[in-house]
Amino acid sequence: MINIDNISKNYDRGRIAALRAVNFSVNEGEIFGLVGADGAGKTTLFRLLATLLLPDGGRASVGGFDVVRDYRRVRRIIGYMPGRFSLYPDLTVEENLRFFAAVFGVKAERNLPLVADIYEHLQPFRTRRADQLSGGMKQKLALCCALIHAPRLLLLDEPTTGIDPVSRRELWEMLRRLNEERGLTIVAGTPYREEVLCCRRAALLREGRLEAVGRPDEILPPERPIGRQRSIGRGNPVIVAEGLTKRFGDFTACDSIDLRVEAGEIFGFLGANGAGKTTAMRMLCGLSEPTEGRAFVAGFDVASQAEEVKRNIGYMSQKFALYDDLTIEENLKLFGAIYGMKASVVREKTEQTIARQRLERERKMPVGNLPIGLKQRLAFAVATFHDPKIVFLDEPTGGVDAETRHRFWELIGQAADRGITIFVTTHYMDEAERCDRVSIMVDGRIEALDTPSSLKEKHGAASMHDVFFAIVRKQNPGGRTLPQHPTP
Amino acid sequence: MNTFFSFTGKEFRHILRDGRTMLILLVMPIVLIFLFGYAVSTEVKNTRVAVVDLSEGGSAAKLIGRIAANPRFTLVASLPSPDRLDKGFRTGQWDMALVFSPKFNLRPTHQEADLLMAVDGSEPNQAAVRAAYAQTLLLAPDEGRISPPIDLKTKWLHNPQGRSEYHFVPGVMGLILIIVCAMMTSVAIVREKEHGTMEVLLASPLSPSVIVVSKLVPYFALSCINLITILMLSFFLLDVPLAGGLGILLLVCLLYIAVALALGLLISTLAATRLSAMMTSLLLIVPTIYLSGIVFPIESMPAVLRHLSALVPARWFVSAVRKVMIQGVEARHVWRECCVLAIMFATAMSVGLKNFKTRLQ
Amino acid sequence: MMLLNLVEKEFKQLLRNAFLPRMFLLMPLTMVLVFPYAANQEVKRLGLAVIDGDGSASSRRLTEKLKASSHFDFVGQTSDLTAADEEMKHGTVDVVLEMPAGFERDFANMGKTAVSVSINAANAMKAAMAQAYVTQIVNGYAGELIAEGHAFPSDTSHATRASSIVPRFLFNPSLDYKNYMIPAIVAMLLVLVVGFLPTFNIVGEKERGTIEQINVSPIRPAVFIFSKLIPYWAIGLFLLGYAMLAAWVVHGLRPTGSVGVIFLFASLFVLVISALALIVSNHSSTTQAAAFLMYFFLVVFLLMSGLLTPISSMPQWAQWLTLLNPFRFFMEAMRGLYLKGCTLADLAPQLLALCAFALVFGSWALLSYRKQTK
Repeated sequence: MINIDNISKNYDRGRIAALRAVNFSVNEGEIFGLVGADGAGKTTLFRLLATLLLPDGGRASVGGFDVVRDYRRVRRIIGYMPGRFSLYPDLTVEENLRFFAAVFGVKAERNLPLVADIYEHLQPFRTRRADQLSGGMKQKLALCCALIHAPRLLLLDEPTTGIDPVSRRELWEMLRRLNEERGLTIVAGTPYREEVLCCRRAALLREGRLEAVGRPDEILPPERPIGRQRSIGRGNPVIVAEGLTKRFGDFTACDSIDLRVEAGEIFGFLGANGAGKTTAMRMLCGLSEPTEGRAFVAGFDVASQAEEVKRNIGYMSQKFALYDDLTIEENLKLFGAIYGMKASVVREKTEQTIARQRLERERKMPVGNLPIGLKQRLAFAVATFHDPKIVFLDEPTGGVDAETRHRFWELIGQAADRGITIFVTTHYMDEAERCDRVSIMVDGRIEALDTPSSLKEKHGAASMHDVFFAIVRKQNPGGRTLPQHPTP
Repeated sequence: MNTFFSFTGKEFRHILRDGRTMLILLVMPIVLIFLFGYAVSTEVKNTRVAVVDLSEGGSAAKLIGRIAANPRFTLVASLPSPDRLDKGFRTGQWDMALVFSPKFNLRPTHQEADLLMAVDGSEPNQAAVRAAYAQTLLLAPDEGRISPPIDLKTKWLHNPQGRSEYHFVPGVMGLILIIVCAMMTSVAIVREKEHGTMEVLLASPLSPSVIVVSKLVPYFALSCINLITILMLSFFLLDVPLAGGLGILLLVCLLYIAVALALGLLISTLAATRLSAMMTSLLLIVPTIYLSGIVFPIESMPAVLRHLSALVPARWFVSAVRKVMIQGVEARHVWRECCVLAIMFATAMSVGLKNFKTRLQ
Repeated sequence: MMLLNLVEKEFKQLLRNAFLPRMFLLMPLTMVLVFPYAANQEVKRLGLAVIDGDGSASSRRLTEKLKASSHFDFVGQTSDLTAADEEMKHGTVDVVLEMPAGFERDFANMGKTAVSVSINAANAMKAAMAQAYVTQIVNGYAGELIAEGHAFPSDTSHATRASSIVPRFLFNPSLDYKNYMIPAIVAMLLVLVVGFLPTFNIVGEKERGTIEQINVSPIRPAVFIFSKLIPYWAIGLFLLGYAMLAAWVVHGLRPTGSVGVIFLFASLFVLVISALALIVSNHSSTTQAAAFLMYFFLVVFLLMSGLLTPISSMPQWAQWLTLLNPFRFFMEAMRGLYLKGCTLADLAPQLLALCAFALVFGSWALLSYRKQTK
């Protein structure tokens, strides 16, 4: 189906080599995985195959057509889903689908059976705008749009970044069915180990070079050992929520949440997309006032003493909330000052942080130029710079490779050892295994709260992944979408 | 064809669902027409005069009475001495002062000025017109006397009442259309780049010309609505005439819209983000305001700017529309403007289409 | 300390931007160099055609006088009105002066004669100016003829006085339009730097998500906002000085009033504008929306400020409306200080008005910025 012959691609007038003489082929009817760290060249490869970029050297063909000369024919037989959801946010589900069908000159109705089992999930929200769908729904819609013209080859560039485990599993079930029933060839890039294992074969890229092609279990590095058991003292809670509720109009985003997090604990706050995790977290950080109920963070009421709460917490959001155009040192200095730290203390701690994270070489570089893994570690350093009692991490490792995540979690462990309480949301279940305790949120309520091992025991499951799937699936067979309210 | 229609339909939805922008686009022409029609005017309506009458026996009273009676002038102060005049000028209490000297009487002397006229010259045009009005009024003979030596019979063609909106309406049209067509179109195309949907469109078998044309059609429709709004408002509300043929007027407008759309396309091929698209369109809008004769006469500018203005599409458009609407000329009088606009369209469109890539980068 | 660090951060970001520092240097220069010529309502080079039906020495002399005037561009002699009208339609002629047969004879015999002028009034301002210029030239010519004894009108009193009333133009004796526009252009510069840039800056932080990081910190909203505004105030006032200097060097125009008072007014105005910028950015979530909103406000405020057209020309209701426009008071103050040599006491009403605006807009801006959502 795909033949890649010695292909290379440079950016920035040859200064950056994105792909260096890559060779491999994908057979018809195969599910093929593309694995590699960020910047390994996966996206470039996808774009070359989608005829969006011209190679600087080598040749590639898709379905027997050359991607340079016969690009029009290639475009007819592929379905392409770029990394970001390429949907029109202001069009409804149905309108998006119809439009993409029309782009390929096909009638949406005629080809609907092709995507019937995916579209089934979307059916109830037909008239809802795409920007009001949850992440999982958006992704299903994007997949429908990429499939509506019945392509022979599907190119998926990290289709599951930022998507909860349940939606991810559903997606891969659908892909498998499409592959088995219709013989669709699929090439997918993904940072998730369990997804790579779904592929028949995979290619591993590193810094633009092809490292290996073969069965996924041959290619993937051995799994890291799961975090150790830690003993946490009881009776010293730093986060206490009692009946915490948030409503937007008649939609209840958080429904009477009760939880206690002990000092020094690593607490995993899990849930599907749109379950209300971010809303709950925003209330605990003093960013949003609860509609009902009370919560105390570091001993202060989040509603009436929000400023006191903020003095005692650190926060790291999904997006990198650092200033791209300031250097590492300057970012640290700035946030130190914002938290009212003394200049001498700031200087001392800056040196400490830089030494601890081995950033001597990069300290004078603007943050915008750093690789994503480094940015994440730096964002964490900023969030813990003022020695907060608690750090809130909102999907800190979204869309990065296993190695980078592993190093990030080492930092989390170190911070916890220093006595900082960690409150973290994640879609990676191997990360959930490393937490001392986890809660799983479904439709605004906390449905389970315990240590990973006792949860697994209770549900008779082998991994957190299965626990999560069991709980979320039971409560919420169809998934739910965000309500019509302005995104906070 | 079906592809084209559904693409265009999608564009219309984008426009209709962005309520605030839509509102601004539809309300902006109306607000501008109202402002230029009613509020913004260059007519010299009222001159506030301060008088210092030092003449013996009030011999100047007759002339002062003439000033007071004239609707163009308002007598705001009658001062015993000229000392306070300066302060009044500085604080903006009056625009003109007349000082009748003690020697003033009806038998003039040649040696010295027996009547002093001082005008606030900070705004030169108003000052010149005020001075000319006052001169004519003071020099005009009394009733029953003969007329001045050279009697100037002035006739204002096309706009006998001298209303400034006649002049502004074509300008507002030129400005609005460039904002709607060039700025909005470029933003709409660049938006697809930012959302990542352009990637999917490009990876589809859709031909680039279909993408481009279906992007342009809705903004073409929107500018037609704006055009009709402006024309209706100015014709029915402001009583701006439509002296020439409607056909030729529409032709000029369509040509101009085409140029503006092509420029929008060109900008979108240059810009990567919506912000930079908007900044680039500002480079188009600023010259449109200053170098197209909308407010500021081109003929008075230094040669460099006059030549530069030839590159501004709005200049040719405004000139043609003004001729057709106000002066009521025929097609043969505006062929030059039309040719220039047509050439501009051809150039911008071909460069825009050439730059519109079928691939990334 | 906190504020200081935040301000330092803003400055660093400003200076590291690829585009802004260059703009800060070039924009004032371009505006001061080019805009006084472009944003200029002076009326020059009016296309003039003459129909000389008399062909006498007197009629030729009047034609010469008109040709010599800098206000007119002499297009040529035409035979009749139809031919002149054709030229007017092509846009080459704006004014047609017609001297009938017997122009000289009537003047010599009866002491009076008539000339008719047709002006293309599509642009009313141009027509008014053209009429004023023609009137001046023709009146002056009549005065000359009488003084030379070519005519003996029955009553000389008015005609002679024609040349004796010479209007004195205060504050701008050469009636140079540039002098009128430069203070306003300098004011415009302030609006652009202090109005647009902070709006984009704050909305930009919203779009990138960095504002979240600030909102979870214990920083007080006022501190954050001031740290955003102070750099623009500093740059705005610096650019004001820079532009004033450029206006002096290039156009030889210096304020006749006190420079200190100009800066006092500018500081106040800067407060008002940045408050407006904050209000707009607090109410918009994307840069595009903010830009549109700001652009809309700016157009309305500038048109109603007396920047382009005099406020006294507006209808009464519109003049009342301009009292709600802070720009109006600042433009008046700038022009008063630049041209009229106003003192602070002269400008007391403008000062009070700007103070009131600063107070109202400022508290609105602070109230509309919230760290916590309901």
